[in-house]
Amino acid sequence: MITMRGVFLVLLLAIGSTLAHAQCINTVDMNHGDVGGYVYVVLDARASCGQTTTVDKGDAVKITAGGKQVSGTIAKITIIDVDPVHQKLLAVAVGGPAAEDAATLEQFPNGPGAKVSYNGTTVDATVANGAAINTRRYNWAVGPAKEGDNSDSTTAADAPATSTTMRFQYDGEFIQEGFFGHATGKSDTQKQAKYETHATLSVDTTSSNKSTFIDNNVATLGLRSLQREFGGLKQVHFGFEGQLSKAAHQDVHDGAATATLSAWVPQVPSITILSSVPDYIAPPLTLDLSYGYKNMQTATASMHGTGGTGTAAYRLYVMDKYEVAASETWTLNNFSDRAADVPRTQRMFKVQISYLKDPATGFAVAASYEDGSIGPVLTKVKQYFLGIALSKFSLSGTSAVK
Amino acid sequence: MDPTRQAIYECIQAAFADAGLNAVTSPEQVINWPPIPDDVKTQIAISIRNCIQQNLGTNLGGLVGVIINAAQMEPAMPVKHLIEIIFQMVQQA
Repeated sequence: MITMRGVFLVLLLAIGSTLAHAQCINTVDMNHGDVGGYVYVVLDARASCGQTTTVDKGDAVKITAGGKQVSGTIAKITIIDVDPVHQKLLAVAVGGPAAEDAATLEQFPNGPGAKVSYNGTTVDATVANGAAINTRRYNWAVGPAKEGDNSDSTTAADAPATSTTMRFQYDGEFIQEGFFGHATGKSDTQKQAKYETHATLSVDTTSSNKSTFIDNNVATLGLRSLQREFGGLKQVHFGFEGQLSKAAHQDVHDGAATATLSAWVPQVPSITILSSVPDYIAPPLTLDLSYGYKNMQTATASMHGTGGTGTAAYRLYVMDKYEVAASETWTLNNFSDRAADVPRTQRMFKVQISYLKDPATGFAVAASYEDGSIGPVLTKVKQYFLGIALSKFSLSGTSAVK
Repeated sequence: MDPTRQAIYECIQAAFADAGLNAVTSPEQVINWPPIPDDVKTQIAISIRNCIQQNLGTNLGGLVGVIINAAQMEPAMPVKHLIEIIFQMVQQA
């Protein structure tokens, strides 16, 4: 006899099973080298995902993201079933009107927010676009201004009809592969430029000198390397970014210039110790450095000086299923507004311990410790693993009694 | 291991070494994907795809998306699973 309690339990189990993979994972892969003019869509085919619509060769597919759109037909479907990985890989032969040309594909923004439609079903997806996004875009507007209005709008409804003050707005972005826009060639293996330049300009000001009117203007210029190897280092990226905020009518500004460098040191690989399982594969010792100058002058405060951070991070795997992620961060504070009790340089040690319960969900954080000295952090880590060891010993003792 | 899987395994070994990750010495090793940035996953996928094109003559279009997607479905993935994923793609190519 089926009781109400039994039905409730079955329902709970069903809901739990659904929630386990409630988030469907769909990916759009485009512009990664010579792939024969296809855009690839990887659909989450796990049963619990609920994307049960039948997808067939020849079906129409539409992909939209960031105001861009491409459409095509499915030329081939590849089924991948390696539990817990269940995917349907759609090779979409892109066609369509002139607006959906190669330039459109290059400008598809990377990241989440894309929509993929097929057979009456629309799913969310993340775009992985291999092309450098060579973008030149701008918007501008002119309209009546209103005192105290800091909103984005310049519509007439926002301003009094008698206003004689005009508001000017401009928003532009320039992203171009190459050294400040000049081509520097492509590496052989990555089909990727060696540098990328990124600049933005945002103007929002008025014709009035009164401080009650909006006057926010920001310009940025950045350059970053896309080179991956330097000497014995891997995943090397260095760059520069400058930012200046300046009011057109007041002596108010906020400027900063920052240089960055990040790299992997493969000579110091992550290691697995005290384990009966084979080694884990993870990034080696990683270094991240940034150093810059800042100068700010506002109506209420001013400061200037240099500052920077440096972080070294390393991963260690122990006792079969534990990940120990350790990092040390150095901070340099040479700014003129530094409080008397704040030291010029500081160090912070952090250790995060994670446990692998299920390969399908990955490592989950179990404990995290940080301190300005390494001693207290190491003591807590030792205490944590001593506790684990004692609990295992206790469990095996119970087993022996049985 | 059959010759096709062996060829895929060797391509994986080369790709991971080129990216600066640990040496792949056993199909039983586990790849911890989350700390590996997406641009490095992409580099690995392109490297494997080029290697397979060269050694098996098969063009695995879509491998970048497949690996980025699979890394989320199985964040702690044994190398043997990655071999099998690529093997299924090669078989259906």
